[in-house]
Amino acid sequence: MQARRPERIAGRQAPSAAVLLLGALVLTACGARPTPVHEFQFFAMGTLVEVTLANVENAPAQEARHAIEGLFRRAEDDWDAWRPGALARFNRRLAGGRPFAVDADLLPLLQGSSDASRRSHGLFDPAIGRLTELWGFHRDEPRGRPPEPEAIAALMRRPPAMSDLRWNGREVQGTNKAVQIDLGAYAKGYAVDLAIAHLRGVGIANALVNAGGDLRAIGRRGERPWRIGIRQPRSAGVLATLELGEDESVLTSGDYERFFMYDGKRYHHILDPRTGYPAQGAMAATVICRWAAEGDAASTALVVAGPTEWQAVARDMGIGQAMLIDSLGRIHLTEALRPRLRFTIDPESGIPMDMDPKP
Amino acid sequence: MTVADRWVVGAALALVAWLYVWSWGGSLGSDAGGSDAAGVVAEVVVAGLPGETIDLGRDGEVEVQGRMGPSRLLVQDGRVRFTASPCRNKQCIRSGWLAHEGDFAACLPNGVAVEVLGPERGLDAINY
Repeated sequence: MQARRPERIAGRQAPSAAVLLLGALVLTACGARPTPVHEFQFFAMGTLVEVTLANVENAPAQEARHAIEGLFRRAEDDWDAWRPGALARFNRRLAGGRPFAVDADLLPLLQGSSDASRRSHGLFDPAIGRLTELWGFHRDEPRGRPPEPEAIAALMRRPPAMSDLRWNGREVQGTNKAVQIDLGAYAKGYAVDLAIAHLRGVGIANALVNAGGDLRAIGRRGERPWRIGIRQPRSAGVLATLELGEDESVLTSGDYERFFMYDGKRYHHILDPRTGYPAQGAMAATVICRWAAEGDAASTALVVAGPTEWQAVARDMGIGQAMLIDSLGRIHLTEALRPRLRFTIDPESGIPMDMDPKP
Repeated sequence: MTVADRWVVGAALALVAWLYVWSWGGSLGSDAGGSDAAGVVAEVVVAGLPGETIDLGRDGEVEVQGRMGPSRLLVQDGRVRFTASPCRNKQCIRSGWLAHEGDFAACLPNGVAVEVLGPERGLDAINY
């Protein structure tokens, strides 16, 4: 009997060990419960802006929400050439033809976009604001018919380009009356970059900011990476999905974002600075890179470049991961991007083309 | 190990399994009220208002007040689409039916957007 006693003691102790184990597991499970994910949306800069924050408590999430919405509202006023803000004032002074000092807030956008324009072989060029206006693509609802060819030809007599701005330190002088700066293909990406910088500055390390085709994500969504879908250019569905790294931007430009149909033909907002007409060779381009502003310019330039030039332009803009969907719906990919995308269709056969909306 | 011990350990494992589902299942604690494991929902965002979800399992019409006026949405057979909008180009209506996770249509002039969320909300954003 005595010999069995230790066993029984051990046996009696086993339940308490199990209870301890149980307690430890309960605590572990509770400790692992993730902090809620916060999502909020608002319309700004002509698109829907969606912000998702992970592993953030409620109070800092609400503060971040106000700060980011405020940031986009200021960007909307200041960097839109057709609102009474800093860029509109800049354009008025530029038209005057005399040298003037540029606002400190506007300077990095102008210099960054000039640099991107040069590297894009001039296919992304913010100097074409007067063309944008002539086509009516500066409004949420574009006009329903193309402008007169003579009006386009008049503006293209001396094609407007960023190289028409003569810089001297912080001072600039306009040298071509046809130039008006339109930051529509740069400012949204820049605002996304500023939003991410703000979030990092307040200690938020896991966030996704999506302003339509301009997206940047940092960190992860809880236990998994951020997952995003890239839209099909000719339907409401998703063309491909991908998981993002710790700090990446995904930028898409397409002929479906702002367009009108006239006489059975699609006229979209991505104008070719070489012709003054909507770009012809591609319906969409997606790039993945670090900075959203750079990617914004690059995705626009690739649509203009089309299937023959897109790879050279991507290379010169420092973009390694890019996808182009040409005007026939064929999908072109860089080798670096190919393994990252999970397509919802067979990429070899291109996108279904029967969804093109009728006028 | 006695029978009672086995019961305790068994209960512990069951509790852990339940806690796992409770903690990690569904929408990972999203405070947008986005997903419902039972059915597919769509999120409707109207300018200036918090996003709201509509159940695509319940047929009917939804009217939302945008910046320019009312936009009408039709829910039918687990799908949703714009049927009326005060905008000029009607791009939102041309987008047609939205049925699968990530399907998205927006009327930017009127400030109304609709996105189908999956049962488990596998995608965090749509790039368009």
